[in-house]
Amino acid sequence: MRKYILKRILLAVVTIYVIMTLTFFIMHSIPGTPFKMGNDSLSEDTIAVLMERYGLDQPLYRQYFKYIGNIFRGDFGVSTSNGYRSVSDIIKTSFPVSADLGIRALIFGTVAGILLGITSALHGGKPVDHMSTVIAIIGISVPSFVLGTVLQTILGLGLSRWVKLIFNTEYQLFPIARWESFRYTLIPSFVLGMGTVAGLARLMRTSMLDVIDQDYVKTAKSKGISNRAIVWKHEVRNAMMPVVTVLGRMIGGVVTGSYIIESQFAIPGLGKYLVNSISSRDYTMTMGLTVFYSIFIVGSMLLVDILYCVVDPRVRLTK
Amino acid sequence: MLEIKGLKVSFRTYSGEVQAVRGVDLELEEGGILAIVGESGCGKSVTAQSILKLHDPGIASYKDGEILLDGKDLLKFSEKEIQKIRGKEISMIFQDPMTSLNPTMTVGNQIIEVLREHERDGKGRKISKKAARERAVELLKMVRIPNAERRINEYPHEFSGGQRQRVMIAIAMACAPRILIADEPTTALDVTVQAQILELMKEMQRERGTSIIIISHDMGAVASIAKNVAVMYGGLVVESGTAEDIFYRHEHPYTKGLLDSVPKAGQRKDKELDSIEGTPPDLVKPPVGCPFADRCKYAMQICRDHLPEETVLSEDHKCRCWLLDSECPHKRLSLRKYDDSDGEE
Amino acid sequence: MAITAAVNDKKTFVKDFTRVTRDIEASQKIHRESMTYLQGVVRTLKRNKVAMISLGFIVFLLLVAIFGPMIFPDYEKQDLLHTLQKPGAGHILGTDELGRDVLTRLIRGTRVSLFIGFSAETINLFIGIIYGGIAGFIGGKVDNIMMRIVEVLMSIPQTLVMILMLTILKRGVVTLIFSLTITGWIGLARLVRGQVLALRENEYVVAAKVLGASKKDILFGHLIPNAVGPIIVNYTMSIPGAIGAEAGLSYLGLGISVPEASWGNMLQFGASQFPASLWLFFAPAVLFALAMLAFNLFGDGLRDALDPKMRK
Repeated sequence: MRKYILKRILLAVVTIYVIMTLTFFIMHSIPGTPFKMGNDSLSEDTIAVLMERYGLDQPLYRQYFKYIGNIFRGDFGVSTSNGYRSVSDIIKTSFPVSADLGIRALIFGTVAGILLGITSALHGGKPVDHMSTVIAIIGISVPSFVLGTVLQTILGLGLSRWVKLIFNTEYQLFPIARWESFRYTLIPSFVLGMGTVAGLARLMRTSMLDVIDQDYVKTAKSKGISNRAIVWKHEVRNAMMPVVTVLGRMIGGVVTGSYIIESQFAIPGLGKYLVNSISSRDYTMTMGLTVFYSIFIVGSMLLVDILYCVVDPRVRLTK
Repeated sequence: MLEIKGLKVSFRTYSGEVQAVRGVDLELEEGGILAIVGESGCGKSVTAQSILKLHDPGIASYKDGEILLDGKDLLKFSEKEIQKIRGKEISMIFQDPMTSLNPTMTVGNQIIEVLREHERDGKGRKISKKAARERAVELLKMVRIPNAERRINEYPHEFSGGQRQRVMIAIAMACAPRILIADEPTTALDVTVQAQILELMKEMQRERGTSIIIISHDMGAVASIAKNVAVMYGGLVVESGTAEDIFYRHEHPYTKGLLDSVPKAGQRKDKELDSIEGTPPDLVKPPVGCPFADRCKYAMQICRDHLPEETVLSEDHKCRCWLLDSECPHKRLSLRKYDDSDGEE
Repeated sequence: MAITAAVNDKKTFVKDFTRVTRDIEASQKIHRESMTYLQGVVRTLKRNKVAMISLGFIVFLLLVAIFGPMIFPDYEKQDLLHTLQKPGAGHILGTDELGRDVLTRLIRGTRVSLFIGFSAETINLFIGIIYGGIAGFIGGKVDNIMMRIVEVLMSIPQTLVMILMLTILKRGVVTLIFSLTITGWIGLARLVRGQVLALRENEYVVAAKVLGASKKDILFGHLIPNAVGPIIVNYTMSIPGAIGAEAGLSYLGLGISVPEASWGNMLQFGASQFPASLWLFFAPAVLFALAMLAFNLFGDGLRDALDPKMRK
């Protein structure tokens, strides 16, 4: 197992390196300088000074090594669209908010998705099954900004209008913007988690249906174990294994998918900065965030891989 | 002790209702070893699994008959009641030890699970985990797993096929059941291992008085162990009796066919084994007559048109064949010597 | 020894003990409809109402995408005198902020979005089959290296790749399709490789080898056709993914930009006008959701039909 984990770590490092390099060269293949975009007021001289200051006048290979070295020191450069604040500083202040949103969404998504999948598999072909299939497919089909819009309008604005009408106060049970108390987190986490719910519900359903037909479930039944114990100790436990393997990708999906929710709900997370950096053509920021996101996602996939080794005895011993 | 009377089991499938078991009578006596023999699809496994009501109630339905354990009909038991029978009074082992153990649970926990489900201490509480663990080690020793104390913490894939089947036997024997049902227990194993597993089962019967039902498609495998044999075909028991009845005084052409397809000691190697040509009937639309008629060397018109009743040949020996009818002009099988070429006299 | 059968009053038939010959053929006759694998798949699929309705809807969408814009060509025509009109006579689905007819744009959007979905996934399909086929068939070191590359690419989040590509390249349908194919083929490549590996050692392939068939013949004559089922399912299920990705990118302003119409940019604009101009939101949202539903449900049905275990 140790060899396997070492191999995974090595692969993760290579992946991050490849992404860094690709991002660097892609970004540098864009004609022009980061200071010209939409900022025509800067004079040639100012640009030259800025170029020198950020080392952009040096040969490409020098810049490349400097860039790699900087990243290792946690320096992603400065963001031109945010008053030349350093990218890592922005990450430091806003990533925790994104992570908070992501974790809430993931917890909701995995728990609801797995439960939905189990329920659906245990009632195969019955109305409950069809209902959860529909929920799952809606979760996949409806883009999060559409779902977000609908919920903002109905649960946020609509509900508070009723509250005002009946109780004559301005209380909002589900605020539609910002990130302050628990109430603020409900709709965004729900919307962001919906994709996970959908994906996991279907995966868990297939996996459960597969497990239910296995011989060892029949063995458990023949031992006189109660139905509930069979479901939880034998079926769910085994059906979870394929789910664990996709968790890494799920984390990646939730984290990179949060940019839409964050800008929609005015949540001061990293995703909002990503959206802004793209629209304001702040390349250092886009590049820095891409690399940061990649490191984060590759890292979480690595963690999940290792976790999988630990939970599945078959993998634990053979690899 | 266990008696099956007129059992009928059907399964709903896409292509229609499969009448897998069409009226089976069987009896297992205290301390007996009953073998149910037949080709795949003859209904032997369905019969065995019906005893513990293991079939998915969404697909299978028990159409008729009773399964009496000490006179109580198991088919009428509620799910809760039958759970108290499963693993405790009657336990079961399955064909493929590779797949019948839970891969993500240690072998020890799979034994402990059944012990803690059924066994009670002096005060009527579940036995402690520690006590169950000790019992589990003893059980592994009983089925001759070396280093039982260490191996109890291992997972099924760390065991060989034969060892896994031993573990299955340990699980099945954990609560000292009165009946052990073994559904093709040796089919998936190497020949050398097969004998060991059968020997282990015989030992359980001898030393613990456990009655055994063994299901097999292989006459050779059951010859060494069975006291009684029931031959099934097309969802029916076509012939049943003591092992001697079946091996030496069989009357049914199908029984003869099964026996002829087993290699015998001293048989010349160049002599081809006899196999039964054709395939078993499709039980979605079971034939009106004898299910074996189409493949039978001795078939008569009546065999195609009418299902033969059971003929009682002795207290134990019963057979469903028109050749045994009192009006039948043809010789019955046991009176034909050296006749294995064709049906003509 | 008692010999006679139990006397049964019901037995009033004549006992005909005439010898008959064995009828092995009859015993082998299966009473169920016998059918090939493909027939079974088609039959199961046809019985699945949900899948058939979904298929019908997909065909309808394709027809709309192909012929619709011929009948309603003026998706760019502005009518500044009739902006933001509610659905009614003249404009069945209303007009947008520049007075463009929503129905006409929706039809145009169907063509654009389906074109993106189908072409991106078809390209992915080809790359996947070639890459996975080669890796699985050659095996050994080549396979090892090719799969390591895939593993690295797999760790790169697709959203980021697409954002990067659309940031630096000229935005439009071609760039969008291109960015969807950069890492989009990986899933299919892995699937194809798995299928090929599993089938490679099959007896009939060995037989074909012994008979002297060339490697190319084996690959395209034997292996690919057999691995085709799961690949079709994967293809069907990934089309809504590609269409959805365009919608997500539209939200960032990276999707198809106006005046061209796509489901994504119509949804995005509709959401921004929600709930003031409901029709601008609901028309694309309902069509989009139905399309996604249809592709997913048809894919589900197809997968069930291809799985003999599900057929019973």
